[in-house]
Amino acid sequence: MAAQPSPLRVVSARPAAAAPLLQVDGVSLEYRTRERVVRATHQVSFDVHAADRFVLLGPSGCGKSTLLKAVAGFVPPCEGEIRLEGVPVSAPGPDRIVVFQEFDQLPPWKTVRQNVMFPLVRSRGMSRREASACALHFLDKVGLANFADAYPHTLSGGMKQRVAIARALAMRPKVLLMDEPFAALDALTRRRMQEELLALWNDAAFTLLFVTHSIEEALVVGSRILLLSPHPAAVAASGARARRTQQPPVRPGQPGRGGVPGYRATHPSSAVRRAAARGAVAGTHRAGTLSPCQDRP
Amino acid sequence: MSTSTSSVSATTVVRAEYERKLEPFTALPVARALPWPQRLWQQGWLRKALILVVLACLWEIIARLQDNDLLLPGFLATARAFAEGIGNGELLTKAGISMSVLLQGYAGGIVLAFVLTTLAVSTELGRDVLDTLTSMFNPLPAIALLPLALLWFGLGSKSLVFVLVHSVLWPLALNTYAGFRGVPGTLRMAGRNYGLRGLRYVLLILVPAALPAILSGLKIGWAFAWRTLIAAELVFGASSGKGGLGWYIFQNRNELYTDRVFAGLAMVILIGLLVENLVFKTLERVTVRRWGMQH
Repeated sequence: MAAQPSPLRVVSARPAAAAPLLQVDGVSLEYRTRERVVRATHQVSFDVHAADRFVLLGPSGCGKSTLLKAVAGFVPPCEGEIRLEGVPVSAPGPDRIVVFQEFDQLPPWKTVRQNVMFPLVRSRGMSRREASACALHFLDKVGLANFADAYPHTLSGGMKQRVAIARALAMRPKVLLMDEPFAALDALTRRRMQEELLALWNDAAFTLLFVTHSIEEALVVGSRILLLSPHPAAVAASGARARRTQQPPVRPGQPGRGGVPGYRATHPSSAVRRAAARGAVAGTHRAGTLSPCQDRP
Repeated sequence: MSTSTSSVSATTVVRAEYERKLEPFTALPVARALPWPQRLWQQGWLRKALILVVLACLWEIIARLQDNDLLLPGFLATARAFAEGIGNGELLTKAGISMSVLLQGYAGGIVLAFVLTTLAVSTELGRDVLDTLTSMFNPLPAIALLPLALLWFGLGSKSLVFVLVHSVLWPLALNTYAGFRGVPGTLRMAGRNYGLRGLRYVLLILVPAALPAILSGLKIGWAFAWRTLIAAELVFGASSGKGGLGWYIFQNRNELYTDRVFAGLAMVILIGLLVENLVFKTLERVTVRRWGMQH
């Protein structure tokens, strides 16, 4: 691995015909409780290309997190296959780093800098000096260079998530997996984090697979959105967002009426809008009143 | 009731809007030091020392009232015997002998507990083994195994180490395993996400994450080991002519030097206090407290 701390895994603009980086091919996932086997996702297929900001959008508890965990290698699929660069995923590994929603993903016994260094030393085989320099570089990127020697319990929630993001980026994974990383943050911090994430992506594009139940967040973060219907998760719609500008989003002071404030210029593709209007993701607010999804295979 | 609520909703009090220009706050210093008696009282060691002094005084008073050195020597007499024992080196040698046996058993117990709990978190069978063994042996007093140990290993420090291992192993394994199971799922996944597995996963993720539980297991194990050792030495005395503190207590009781018996007991207590306050407190301060895992 390169000792140079600065370059991210910069993804060169590939022609559209290039093979997808991550292929999820007819994947069904089940989990087992004491009495029954529950199907979490049913024959989900999608392709993630390099430099995608691919969002899995669906109501709470619809199985999208399980899908992400399957991509990470924590949950083996009972049907279908997940391939990263053509190689089937069988176990967790450092080429797919996950940023979780929970704050306790950071080992509390390590300082912020050690937290970022830890996987670099342990799985990238970097020397401590290299890892330290690399950690500082990425902490600087997320604006936490001054807190390098603080312990996680002294940080706020947003800062902890920044550390987790810096740690994930420093590992330069092939795919960065994020499981509702901002869901536990307050609204203002969440917005700032979304913008910072986009700024990081604009800085050096990485491939992102992002799970969220918030339509707004999907529109802000994603370049392509996959809409999942609940119980079990199945693909309801998939679409690209209108191309975003290279600028991180600028939010005008006055919020738009009804829609997503400051995001009325960029719309999801018509497929996603139609499916959302039919109520496939209405369950983000009222999980009990979901209308059955017609697109389910 | 209903009239009052309706009147509340009906009235609209008009209040003037206003804005204040705030002067810097100078009436009092923002932070003030507490008066010195309160600051002194905040010192934990001072409060504890005070408790000890009160206890010593009570002891001395009761002993004077009792006025029977054979049954209950006073604090001063015990202190004198203690100083004498330290002075001629007898107490320290005895404590040293006890300590070396104790540390052997303690270390053995820690190693075995680590092996068992590592197996328990790795495989389902290992978990069942640990579950069954702890529920069988944890309630069994270590001292009850001493007759067997004497039969198997003979009179000597080997049998002592055997019962010590037994006394440390089960409580420590129980605590460590509970600590392992309490490690948050996210942290486990983060560890596996780095590709850590097997022993590296246990050592780099589970052990530090479960350290509060492991430390409390170590403390309990230490106390159990001390009790077992002193009791074992009282039961079968010196091993190959070298007795520890328990033997010292037993021998002096036979010769009716009750003040030395008390001095021996005081030594046991002192070592316990030292280990608790120096070793374990320091360990906690530089680890779990610093990491915000324990308050």
